[in-house]
Amino acid sequence: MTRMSEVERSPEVAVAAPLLAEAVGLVAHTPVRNSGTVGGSLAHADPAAELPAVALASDAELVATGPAGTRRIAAVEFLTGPFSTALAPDEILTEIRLPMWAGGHAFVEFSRIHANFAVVGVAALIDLDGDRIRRAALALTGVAPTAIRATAAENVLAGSDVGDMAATAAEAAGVAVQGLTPAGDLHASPQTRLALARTYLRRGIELAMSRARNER
Amino acid sequence: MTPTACTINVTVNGHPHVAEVEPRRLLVDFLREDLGLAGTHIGCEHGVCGTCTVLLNGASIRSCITFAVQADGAEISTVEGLARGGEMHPLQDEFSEKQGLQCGYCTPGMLMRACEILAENPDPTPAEVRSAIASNLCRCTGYQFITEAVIGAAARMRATKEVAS
Ligand SMILES: Cc1cc2nc3c(=O)[nH]c(=O)nc-3n(C[C@H](O)[C@H](O)[C@H](O)COP(=O)(O)OP(=O)(O)OC[C@H]3O[C@@H](n4cnc5c(N)ncnc54)[C@H](O)[C@@H]3O)c2cc1C
Ligand code: FES
Ligand code: FES
Repeated sequence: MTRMSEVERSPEVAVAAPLLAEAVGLVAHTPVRNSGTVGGSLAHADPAAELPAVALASDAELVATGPAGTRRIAAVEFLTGPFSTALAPDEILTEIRLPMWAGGHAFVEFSRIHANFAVVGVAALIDLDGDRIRRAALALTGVAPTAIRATAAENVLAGSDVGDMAATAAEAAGVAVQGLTPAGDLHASPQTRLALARTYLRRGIELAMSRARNER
Repeated sequence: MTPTACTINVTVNGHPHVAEVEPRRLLVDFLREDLGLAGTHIGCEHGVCGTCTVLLNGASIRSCITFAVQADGAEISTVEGLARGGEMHPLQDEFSEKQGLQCGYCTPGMLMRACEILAENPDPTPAEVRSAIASNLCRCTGYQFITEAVIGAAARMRATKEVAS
């Protein structure tokens, strides 16, 4: 129930969950973030929204409370469809638990007008072990009925060398968009969404990699 | 089913009000119709245009997508509260002088958003003002004169503060 503008200004969130902090800054404008909450955005589950992708990439646990008690729902099980979640009608979200991530992060997106809902968004988390990627997590918005994880691309990244960041990122981005069948709408055709996803994946992965390097 | 009325305590432009409202009553309708403060305008009615912007405890919000009950216990500032005893607020003066308005429809929201911008940063650059007022739509001015008016008001407000301190 924390307002997005509080998250945006919080020095603790900036350190402990920089991916969330970066994504929140991309949600609409200040007057909307002054009212909108993190839990509200997750419960609303707009397929174009940033925060469901953050929750997915971060392996967040969403804590739901209702008359029957409290349970934890993994982000991947929480998003069941466009504007649909695993919440029961009598449950509300009371807590969002994000595991800490040691490496680099990035949230990048394409939006036709500054601060509008993004056409395509990418959340990337990358953890390094020397010059190799130990662990990668990628999530996408705008290419499926819900935010989705790009597991095949994560597997390409895991274990690969970051010596040639650009080539590694491009390869993973290519793998990530294989098999995606985004719906077209008045904002963008399926082809445009795929092209955008590929480009923004590449950028997101590269940014997260370079931040992971600077972290060391 | 008739919705049950709720009692709310809200302070609007410094005046306390106790009111009975339906839970679904929108804040903008409460302000305009129940309190007669029609300076806050309604445009898109879904949070996009910003003409209904008011301050809730100093933070800008869209009053068209806020329920009146959400303002219970809060302080609301609307455009009517800007002028002091017939004397315009520096922002209003500058909007007038720099032609920061034409039809005036967006103006109440622009002024309230500008209050928040200057409260957070009393000395913004034109680029910062432009980026910050992107939250509010204006179909007339092209934003240039609004930006100039906010910058002008910021300078006047800083000067007044220096004299006062
Ligand atoms: C102009 C505009 C632009 C926007 N642009 C973006 C954007 O770029 N990206 C983006 O992600 N979003 C955007 N939004 C949506 C914005 O982020 C919403 O404020 C947010 O998604 C939900 O806000 P809220 O917390 O006020 O929830 P509400 O609107 O109050 O609720 C949304 C839904 O979730 C339910 N709900 C709320 N909180 C909980 C909870 N704790 N537990 C269970 N259910 C709950 C409500 O019952 C309702 O069904 C935009 C909104 C506007 C008005
Ligand atoms: S009328 Fe409220 S934002 Fe447009
Ligand atoms: S002055 Fe007409 S909309 Fe701004």
